[in-house]
Amino acid sequence: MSDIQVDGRIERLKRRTQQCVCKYCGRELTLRHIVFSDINEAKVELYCNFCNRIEFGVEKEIYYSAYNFIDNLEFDYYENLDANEKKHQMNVAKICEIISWNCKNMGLLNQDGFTVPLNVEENTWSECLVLPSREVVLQEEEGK
Amino acid sequence: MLEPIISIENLSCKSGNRYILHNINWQVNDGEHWLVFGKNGCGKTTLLSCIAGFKPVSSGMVKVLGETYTAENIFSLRKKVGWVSSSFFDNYFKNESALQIVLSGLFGTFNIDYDVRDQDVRTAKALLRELHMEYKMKQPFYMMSKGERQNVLIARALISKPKILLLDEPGTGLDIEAREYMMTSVATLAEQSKVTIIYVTHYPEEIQPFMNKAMLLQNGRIYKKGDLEDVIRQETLSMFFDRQVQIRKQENGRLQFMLEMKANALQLS
Repeated sequence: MSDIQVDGRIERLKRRTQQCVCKYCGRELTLRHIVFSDINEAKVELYCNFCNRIEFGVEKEIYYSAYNFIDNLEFDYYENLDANEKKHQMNVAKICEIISWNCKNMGLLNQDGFTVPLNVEENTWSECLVLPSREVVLQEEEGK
Repeated sequence: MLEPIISIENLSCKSGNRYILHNINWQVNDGEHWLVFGKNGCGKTTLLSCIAGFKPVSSGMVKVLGETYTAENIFSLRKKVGWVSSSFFDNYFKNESALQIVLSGLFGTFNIDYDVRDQDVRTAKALLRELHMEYKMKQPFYMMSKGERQNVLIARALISKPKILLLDEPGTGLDIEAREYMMTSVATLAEQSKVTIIYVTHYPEEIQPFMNKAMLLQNGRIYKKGDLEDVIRQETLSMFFDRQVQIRKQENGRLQFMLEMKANALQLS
């Protein structure tokens, strides 16, 4: 286990807020002051405000793919749990972990995101996507 | 002369105008295992959080393994200090899973990082299994019992193979079997590894033979510190508690404190 890189940690986490989402709910991650410290790098963590969770996140493409997998194939890793939104989120998160693990091991993913251009089939993503507001603006601008 | 494992000089911590810790001077040397004893609110958790690198000091100096905490070393140094404190971590962990929390110990942060290896996950799971938490790995922290949370934090502290183990009331909330298991594990660690243990407790029956030093903390100040047998004495404890204390040794060698106490709460109601 190598030591965490202190230099530029905040910048790395900021970049992650741009490229990743919460693996449970798919919403954007924010940088949040978790603990009081006189060392800036030690104060902050990635956080999902919706889930109230310290969360490292996954690439958006992976989240949408996992979400779609659960919905279309009715995959259930947690058969003993009651069917509810929480269980659905946990299933999506589980698939996110598996896809991330595989992409990482195949050399398709690193800290900065995907190492290869993606050619995602549009119909593999759910019709209803959760987009952070800034992306909606960006997509609108692109459409003009 | 070897450098102390922990060296604290004139440490003070304030919250507003109130001193939580005041002018603490303390050295922990190689081969020492300390018992820290004190009433609720005397500053024990604050003292440990300063040593663990999770709380800045108002004045004074804390050196851990010869280093003070800086921006360059904070994460690597935190990893060398295993810290079990539900009074601290209960404030930060809520919806995070047991597995994520254990893995965060590898990074000296509250979160995992990109660099989690398969071996790390296997080790985290093995630790949780060892602590009878195999069915709770994905469960959110807030949904666990106090004892289960304590076990998650013990696994978090051990995963980075620390040189120092800070145990802040580790027996609180554990059932009798889990507490005995925890105490045996800590004693085994003390005897078979080179880890230095600082053990904070309210319970005299948790005082174990491997502990060779003791500190009494009162209102943020050191009341007395030294060899355990010089500190944990009837006269000292009677003055410390400001009431008559009798120390009894039970058949299993564990200590029991008997405090002379009169309660008049019923008469007040």
